[in-house]
Amino acid sequence: MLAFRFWPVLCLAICAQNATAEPLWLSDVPPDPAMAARLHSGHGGWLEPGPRGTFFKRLWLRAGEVPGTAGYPVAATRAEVVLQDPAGAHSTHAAEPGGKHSQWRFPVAQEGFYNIYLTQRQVREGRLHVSVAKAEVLKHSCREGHDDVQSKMPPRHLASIPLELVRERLHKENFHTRLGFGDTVTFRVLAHGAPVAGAEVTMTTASGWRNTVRSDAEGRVRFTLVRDYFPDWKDFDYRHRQDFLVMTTLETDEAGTLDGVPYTRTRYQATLAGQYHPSSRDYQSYGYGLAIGLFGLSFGGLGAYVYRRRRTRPYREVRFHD
Amino acid sequence: MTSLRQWVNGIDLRRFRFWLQLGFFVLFIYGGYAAVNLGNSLPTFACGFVGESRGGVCYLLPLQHQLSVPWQRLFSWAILGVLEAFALFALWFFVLNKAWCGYACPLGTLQDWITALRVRLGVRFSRYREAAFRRLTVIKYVLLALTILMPLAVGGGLLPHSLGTPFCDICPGRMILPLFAGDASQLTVNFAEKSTMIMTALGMLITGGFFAGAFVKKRFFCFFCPMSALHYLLSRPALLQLRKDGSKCTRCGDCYRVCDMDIKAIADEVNTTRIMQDDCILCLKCVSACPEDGALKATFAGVTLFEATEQGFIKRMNKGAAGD
Repeated sequence: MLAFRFWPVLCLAICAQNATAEPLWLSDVPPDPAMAARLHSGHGGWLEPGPRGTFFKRLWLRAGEVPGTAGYPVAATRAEVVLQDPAGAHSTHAAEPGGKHSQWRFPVAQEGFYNIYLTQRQVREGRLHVSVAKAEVLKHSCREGHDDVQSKMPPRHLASIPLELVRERLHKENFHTRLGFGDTVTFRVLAHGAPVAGAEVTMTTASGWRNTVRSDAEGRVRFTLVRDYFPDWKDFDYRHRQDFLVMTTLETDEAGTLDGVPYTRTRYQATLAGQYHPSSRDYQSYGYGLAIGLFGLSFGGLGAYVYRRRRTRPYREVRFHD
Repeated sequence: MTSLRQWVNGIDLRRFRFWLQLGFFVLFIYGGYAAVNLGNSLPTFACGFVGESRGGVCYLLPLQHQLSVPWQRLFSWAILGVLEAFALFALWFFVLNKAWCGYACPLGTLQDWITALRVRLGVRFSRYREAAFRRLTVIKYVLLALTILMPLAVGGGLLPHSLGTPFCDICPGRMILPLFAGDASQLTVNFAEKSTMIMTALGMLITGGFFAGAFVKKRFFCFFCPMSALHYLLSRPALLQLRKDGSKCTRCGDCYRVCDMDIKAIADEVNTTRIMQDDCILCLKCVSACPEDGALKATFAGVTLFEATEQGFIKRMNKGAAGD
């Protein structure tokens, strides 16, 4: 395990009662709010500081379609975890059962995006249910510099994953970019790396707003991130984080057996969670900025003019009589 | 060799400086498009907010970032990063000394262009009175102290996190330089928090004042620049130096008259060879305007690069280029 630089503090588990139709997904929001206070907030979300400047990322398994109310399931049957690092190298790990919540902790040493896939297979009512929960995790520290960021930005996928959602980058997106209200985000649906046309993709916001669209010939779907945060201005928090969940399913007539249990059809379900924030347009004002700038210019100019006028002595003839 | 030296000493410094400043301006604002990246420890206002087109980043931005981490982390392994960045900054600085201000700083260059506009419009410039000069020169040290202490207070939880880069919040470079890369997003007041609202409003106010001030006073903002204060603290061992031979000085005052920073000591001081003052931007206009052979000179690692000569002075005077 250590050879993979993947530490399963994990107590992964997907228990029987959670192995239902409820979508599984991965989140870095801890179940205990007190734990969040101990975490370090970085450009890619929560990080756990380790010794000698190292950082770890911790992910929890969630179950439920609405991010705001989704639970933290426990217990597991059969699942595997694939970790893909920013360099593209990937490693497979068997999930280990146990613990209070299903969670993973792994070191994030490299700058860039890590992909983590949790794949669970289970036969129910003669149908194989394959659930792929994916998380895309950014590790970035400004101390590492900002060289060659663009080469680390393109989204990656794994051809070995049966069904996967990939978020495409915004125009000029970098490690500091935060998705905000009003942004249009594009996802691709890929099955073993190939685009899936006509797949139904659903986005659900934290409070349950939902939109479903079908993927085009290249497997692309686009969603506009709607405002789902309406506090009083005095309570407004520009760092307010709002989770969303994107989900798609694919049915095939693949048949076979799993652990000796036969099935005649296969249903794949892929999830990808993300987060967005209030748009800077909500709390930044060009009007006030330019007005104050113009005031500074006018006031400064007037001040210089008055200062000069006061220092200008009127002409006065002085005659010397020897 | 002698003719080369004569040619250098007779150079039209104003034109040379204009092109060099333009080159640095393009390098720092658009260098990224040519894959130029001089790092994050530059001793000049190569603004980090310019975006991907920038050719490097001003040291004050990463310095404030580094100092604003929690104390527990800062005073353990993170201090190594602070020291490394400072060492890089010092290495860059030792090459050009304060000529980073006079030749490389994009914000300084912008002020020189505003001055050129004023000259074309026929508006006379202003000078500080001696007493005002002495009072104002302290401000940059106060700003430098705040630039260091406020992020430290943020790291200690004494100030809100949004005050982690206080000088960048009020630096006119943050508002103005990204405009040259087509980004106007810094011209805003940020109402997200009280502290951001105050700092960004102050930043815009200072930006307005910057334009007004730079129009009537040469190098207006350099007088208050904390980077200039930091430079001066490190300037003694730098390679490029300004020297004066007091025995050759006639105290004609030409050097003072052309000085953008109103440094009177350049004309008055005749007892020391190390003439560089904390406000000096090492533009070398004083050397260019000096008519006395060898009275003022710029040396690099002890070797004379450019020195005042009567011949060079006359040549520049005939071109109308001795100073403005």
